[in-house]
Amino acid sequence: MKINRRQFTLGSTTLLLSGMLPLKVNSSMLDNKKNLVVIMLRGAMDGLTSVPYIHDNTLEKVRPDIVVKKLLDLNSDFSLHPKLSGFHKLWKSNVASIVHATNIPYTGRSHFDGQNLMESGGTIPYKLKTGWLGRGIDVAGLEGLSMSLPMPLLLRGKANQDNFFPSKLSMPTRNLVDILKHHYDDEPLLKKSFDKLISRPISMTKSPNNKNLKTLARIAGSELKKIDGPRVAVFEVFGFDTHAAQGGADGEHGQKLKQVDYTFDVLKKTLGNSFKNTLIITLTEFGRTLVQNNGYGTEHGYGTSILLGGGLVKKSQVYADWPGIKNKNLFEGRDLNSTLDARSVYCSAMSVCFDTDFQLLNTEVFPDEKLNDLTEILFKV
Amino acid sequence: MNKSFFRKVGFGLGVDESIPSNPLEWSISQIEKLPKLNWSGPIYSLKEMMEFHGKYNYQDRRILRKKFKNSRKDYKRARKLLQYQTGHYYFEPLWLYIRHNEAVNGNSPVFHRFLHFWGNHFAIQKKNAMYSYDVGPYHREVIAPAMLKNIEDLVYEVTISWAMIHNLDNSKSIGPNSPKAFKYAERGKSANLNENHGRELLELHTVSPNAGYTQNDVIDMSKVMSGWMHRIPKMSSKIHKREENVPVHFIEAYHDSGPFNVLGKKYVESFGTKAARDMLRKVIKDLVKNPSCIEFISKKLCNHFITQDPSDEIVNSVISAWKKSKGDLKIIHSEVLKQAYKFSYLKKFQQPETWLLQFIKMSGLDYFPKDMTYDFETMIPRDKDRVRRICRNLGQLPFRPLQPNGWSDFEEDWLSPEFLFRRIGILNALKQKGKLIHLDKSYLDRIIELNFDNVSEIKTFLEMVNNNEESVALFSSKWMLKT
Repeated sequence: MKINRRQFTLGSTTLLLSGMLPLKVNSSMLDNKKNLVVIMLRGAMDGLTSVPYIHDNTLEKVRPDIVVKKLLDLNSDFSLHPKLSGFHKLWKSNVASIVHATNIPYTGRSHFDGQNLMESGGTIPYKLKTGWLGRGIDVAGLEGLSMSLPMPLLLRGKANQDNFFPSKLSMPTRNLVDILKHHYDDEPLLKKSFDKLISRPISMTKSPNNKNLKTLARIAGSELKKIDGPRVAVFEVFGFDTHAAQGGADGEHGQKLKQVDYTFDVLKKTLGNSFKNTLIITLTEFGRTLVQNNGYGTEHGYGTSILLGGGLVKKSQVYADWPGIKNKNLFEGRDLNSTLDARSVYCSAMSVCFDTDFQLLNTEVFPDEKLNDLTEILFKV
Repeated sequence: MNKSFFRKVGFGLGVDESIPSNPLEWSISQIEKLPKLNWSGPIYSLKEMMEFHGKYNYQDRRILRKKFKNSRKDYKRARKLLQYQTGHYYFEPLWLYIRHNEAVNGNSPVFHRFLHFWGNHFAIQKKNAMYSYDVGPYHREVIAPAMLKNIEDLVYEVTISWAMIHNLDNSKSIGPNSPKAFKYAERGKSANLNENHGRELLELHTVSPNAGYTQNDVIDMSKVMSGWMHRIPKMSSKIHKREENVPVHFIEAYHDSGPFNVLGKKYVESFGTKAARDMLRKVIKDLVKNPSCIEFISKKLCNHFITQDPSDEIVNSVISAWKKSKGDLKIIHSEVLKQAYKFSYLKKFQQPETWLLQFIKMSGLDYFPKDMTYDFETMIPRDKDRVRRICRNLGQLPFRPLQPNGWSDFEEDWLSPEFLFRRIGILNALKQKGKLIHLDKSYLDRIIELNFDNVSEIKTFLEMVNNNEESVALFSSKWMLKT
């Protein structure tokens, strides 16, 4: 798996994309626009490295070579990885929280099946061909604008999505663009795509060569804070599959967490005042084993943690029905257990950000599942 | 004459070619025998690739991770060297070049279009670097020869191929009524089926969900398949050093003894290894006769080669050929070609790679590197990675589909602003680099006369375009994007 590939995806409302822009933008309009940012952490983020349990010394015993030192304080039971210092500032400002001992209901430990399920929101790999976020956007009557190649499953829904990702390529001359515009008249889908392509804002036509995470976060933040801009952004950070050299504070896992931290940090700075109406949330396929392996890494596990940041977070808290990490508490004797279906968190997040009833989203996006409504516990409603 | 036929079932005609006097005969003759490869550069067999992939897996997992467990930087440096030694970055571009060379310069473009179709039908996901090491030879050595046989042979040979067994985790499956499961039970452990392969054999490779199979069918299909694996025999240290990269074999100890019930038919296994081993073939024989399988794959062929919404008349012709020939792939393919010729006026939005190959062939673009040799010591030179970069820019790396159902054949999955932009943008970039400078008026006229029926309409369209942009306009035109 490549460890340096990242991308982000944006979603926008149909109304605002269709060119019916408000004549006058006032601050109350901006106040009502809520943004949802999902950061997909591919490779299985270790919840016990990002948010270690410190109530006892179990981790020190079972991970003698990779236990994280110089932790950042959260509360008496949990600390934060030192590479998440930007996230820690949000915590201190009461706009960051953590859900721990959670996961999607998948115990197979296959990255491919797990990533498929974390994006589709289903329980049988590859059964669903759309993503939970895409279906949520459909329910809320929004339309997606993906800024990635290819379109992540997470954002696929019924709606015909747009997609964009920075490249060095450029459009031909205005003359040819005008000719093609009419040339595609009798091909509805071609015409629709081309019309959207040529009506892109300047910020999307002058693509930076630099596709690093900070640049992408800056572009995303700039677009999200526009009243007529997108409302959903999706990032991907690869490389959490640390079977070897996972390391402690400065290890491979820590480096990946640093990238996540950048994303929170850059988005906060770029969003400015809009940060108060934004929710940033992480998503991964599963956690990692409690005990370190012979390669100073960890194997595929089950329960993990979710990081949440932004002004829509209710308060700084670690929300968990903590199962414990003694042998008897572990899932199949090896993994942090999951005591909360992570889809409850995501369904609640969509409910808050899309101003859409939780039960409706539950029924339409995750049919046949009875999820917990956590909106009032986790978010400002 | 329906000149779009040459793009519908092939990659169009190059300017040095002449229009075949009998297009149907031209196309059918190409699917009757395994074409000799036009490629004269380096090529590696599936067996050799298992050595490369096995070496990479073993060295990385067993040696480097332990040796450099204290230093991420040293581990990464050592792994990079190992990647060079095992051609980790080399083989995917090599396979792509061979694939593209056969499409553009080979004598059997129609055969290769069918190979692309079946390679996608039996897709290997982006998993464990299989796209780098294994998928190219899997297409050439497993799928291509079986395309001349019966559909039953093709499905069976793919199902027990190393690539598919690994792709869909069949080695992790243990039959609940198998000797191994009983041994597990004695030690208080449970042995489980892995349903991944069984499910996809039904859903994606044969009958499709239209057959109305149940979870019990999936479970029993998985039981039938249990025992087919690339498990490493512990007694052989040589094989162990290739990790899972060893040939697939049938191990009866992991095989469920049945009985099995798949799609309403009961299968009872008689005693002995041969009977256990043959059970999968028996079930596949029935699956490919199932009306849902015949309809599903016939329609998929029509979707790919003719139009994404084929009429019953078109699909039924292929179904009929399938039934009459009892699944003879040459007859089935031949009928697809007949229907594609008959209905060549129907339009189909071309996948990015197909469009790219048509553009390269028709334009005579200077596309291929002088050679594809490699030193196995350094990073692959940039020019030798060009095809992969272009495919990535277009959003379709053919050996890396993201899901087991492969790349879509439907317009709505490919027609988005960015995907359209990538095609136009690549043409524009090539023009700006002077790569299309040879496409003057007479060259373009020749391309149009060879490949399109609406010659005057296209020429009128190009007259509106500025002098140096006609080639960009032609290859991004609706007549080129939809064939």
